[in-house]
Amino acid sequence: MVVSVFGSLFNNLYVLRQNSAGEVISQVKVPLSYAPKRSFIERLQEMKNGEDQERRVAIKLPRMSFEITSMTYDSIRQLPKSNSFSTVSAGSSNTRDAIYTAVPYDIGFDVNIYAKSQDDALQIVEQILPYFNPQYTVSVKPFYDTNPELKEDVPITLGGVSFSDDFEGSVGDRRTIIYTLSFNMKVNFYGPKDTRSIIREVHQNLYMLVGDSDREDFQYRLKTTPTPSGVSADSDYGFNLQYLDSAI
Amino acid sequence: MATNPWVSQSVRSEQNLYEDLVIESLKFYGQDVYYLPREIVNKDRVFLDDVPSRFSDAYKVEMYAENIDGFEGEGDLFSKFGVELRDQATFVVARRRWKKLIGDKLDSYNFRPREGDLIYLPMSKSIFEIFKVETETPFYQLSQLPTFRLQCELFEYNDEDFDTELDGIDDIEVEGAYQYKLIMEDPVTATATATAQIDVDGRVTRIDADSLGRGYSVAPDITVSAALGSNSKFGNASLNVTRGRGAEGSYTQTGVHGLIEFWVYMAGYPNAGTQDILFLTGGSESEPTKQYLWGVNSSGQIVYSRGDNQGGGIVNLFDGNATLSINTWHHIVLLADDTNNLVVYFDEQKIFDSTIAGVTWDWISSGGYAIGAVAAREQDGIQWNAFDGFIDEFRAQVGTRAELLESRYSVEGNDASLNQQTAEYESDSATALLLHFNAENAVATSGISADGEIVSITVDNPGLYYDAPPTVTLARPYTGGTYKRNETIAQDNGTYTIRGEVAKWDSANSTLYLAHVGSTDGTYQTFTTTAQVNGATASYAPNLVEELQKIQQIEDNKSQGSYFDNFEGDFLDFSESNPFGDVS
Repeated sequence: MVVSVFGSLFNNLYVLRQNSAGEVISQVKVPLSYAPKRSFIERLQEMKNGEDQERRVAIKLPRMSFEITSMTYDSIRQLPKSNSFSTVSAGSSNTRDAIYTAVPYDIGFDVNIYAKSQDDALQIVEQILPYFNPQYTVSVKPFYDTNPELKEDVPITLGGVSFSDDFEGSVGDRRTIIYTLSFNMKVNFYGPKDTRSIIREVHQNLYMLVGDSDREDFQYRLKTTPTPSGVSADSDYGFNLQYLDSAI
Repeated sequence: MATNPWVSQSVRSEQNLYEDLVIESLKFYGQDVYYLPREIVNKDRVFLDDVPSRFSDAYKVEMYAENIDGFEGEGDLFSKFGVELRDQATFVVARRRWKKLIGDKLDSYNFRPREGDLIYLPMSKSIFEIFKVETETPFYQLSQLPTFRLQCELFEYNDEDFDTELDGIDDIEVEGAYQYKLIMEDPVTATATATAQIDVDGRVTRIDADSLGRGYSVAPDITVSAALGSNSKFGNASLNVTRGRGAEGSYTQTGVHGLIEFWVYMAGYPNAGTQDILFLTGGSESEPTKQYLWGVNSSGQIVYSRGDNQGGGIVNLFDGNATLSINTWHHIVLLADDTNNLVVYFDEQKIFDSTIAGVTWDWISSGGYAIGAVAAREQDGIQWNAFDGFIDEFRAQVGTRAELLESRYSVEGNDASLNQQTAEYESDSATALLLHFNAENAVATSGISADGEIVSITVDNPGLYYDAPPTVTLARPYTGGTYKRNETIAQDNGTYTIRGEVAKWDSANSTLYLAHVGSTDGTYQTFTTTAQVNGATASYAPNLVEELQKIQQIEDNKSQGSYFDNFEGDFLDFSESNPFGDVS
């Protein structure tokens, strides 16, 4: 999901080509893909275009790719590990679903832009940079399938932009323009959902201190239960108090 | 060792011989390739580049590929951007041949092949870009340079425009260019439809759109079918009294003496003991003596009544001499002449010429007339029903017998019969009333919305005497037709026009594939489904617009970016905005 969230930010970028009158004569939505992949899958997809097309050109540009470059535990964002947030289990009034505190990680991403011209590359870069100062925050639904109402802000920080443009060299050499944008995405990884029973009965033993001594005299035992008894966690209810035992 | 004394290196003829041998060997060992000169579209004066280059010409010429064991270069590379083919090739072309076949056809920079131009190698279906032109290899043999040596690399396609008319080359746009796929709607399906309603007189009272259509750029013409009457004696219709129609009004002039004539077509006799009214002339409720009703009885005989008949008596003046046959046109002339005689002609034959006791005719009076269904009424306690049939060519004239009839006798001086009427009458100075009962066609106009749909239909002329609601036909929003490859199409969306080049037209599925799409307003736009897409010989409105990504596909026509698109609505909350693109 992290990869898809990050990819979603950059899958609608365009490049426009204009004529001397300022009219657009070609607009291209820049294709995006996750960089590491198996080569034979790519070759198979290319083969779908037919034999004549397979070796017609070197590559079709512009295009973008991205990849995870690092995953680092972020101890600063770590919350107490026993904390959890819970909600009533679906279909049962006697249990609650609970998820413990997430594990914070910083994930490094590189976005690579491969263009044939500086103008194309800069058009793409200009659609990204203004939104990162250097951070841009997206709202993610970490439990989109079970609890889509829960949202979490995920900051994405642009660490830097580098590019290579090997225009120098022999006249017969190919020129390659590649921009690389480095991002850091602060994500939380949640463990599995835990199902807990609801506390429906509390026993209290009450003591009274005697004078200045350390002695405590047992007074009585109190049993507390909700009323009505079959109430669910999120409904209105009262308490029923019952004295079980007494020394008085 | 000295040079060959038998060959002089600076003699032109020797050089030509050598060059001829080079050309001949290139023809022998070489292969036909296509040379594609680059056309600069919009030179970037900052980065000194021309991103949207165009290649519209392809010149066939023989070249020799120096590569023996395959293309040079790094071969097939797999990088973070997928597979990249780094094939290199070196081509040799004779100077004289290049100049003759290509250079002389170029307007500028035409003394040698140019870096940036392309070479299409049909053998491998590959397109190479010239990176370097070596003009001095081989080096001054026989004191001349007979060939160019072209160092090439496989072309990086960047949505350049190929319009060479050679499918093998232009197909790169079909598979490589960023495309839009427009599924067009059939013009018939997109055409609005409407239904008309008429009143009792056959006038169109309203036209309601049943479907609003789509893709209209101008308000469509509306054709309302012709108002052809179902039966007529002259012209295109008659007064269809059976449908409840009638006519009433005042005469344009009045006269005590005068003539009333008309054609009548009876569809059915009245029930026994009842009578149908044909017409009423003159008089009013306050002047019953000038009120004359004429009709037919249950035997089809012409009968007459007058307002002061002391009880509404019905008079049968002619018995069997004036009997209307069913489904037959009959001609009737009634003349109140200057001697107070009533003269009657039935089908041009005189059947009555006499005074009627107690009647002094005041024939065409200011009381006006009533014809057909509007004349159905009670007269002196007797109900006259509406006529069942048609009346046509109704005329009233003021004047004497001599003035009105004598010229019409079949035999001069003999009033026994009249000449047959062959056409509609024309008005003259004696005419007090002339009704042809000709139908009129309705006329309507439409209005459209900005979305290309019908929003209004206005009846400008309701027409007359439609026997049934007319058929309403709205013009098609577009013509259909066939888009031609490489032609430029345009869709006018008001503030901007979006254009594209036809990469492919799939007529079987009405699907148009467009490359090099762009808007005149200089911003990113897309095609709408409301306006029509016009080519030179075709016009349709799309009902579905898709963007096709041909690069880095994970499935047909879709890149991984579109895959992310499908997910982002699930696990991203862009309820405020997504600056990076739209989330649907």
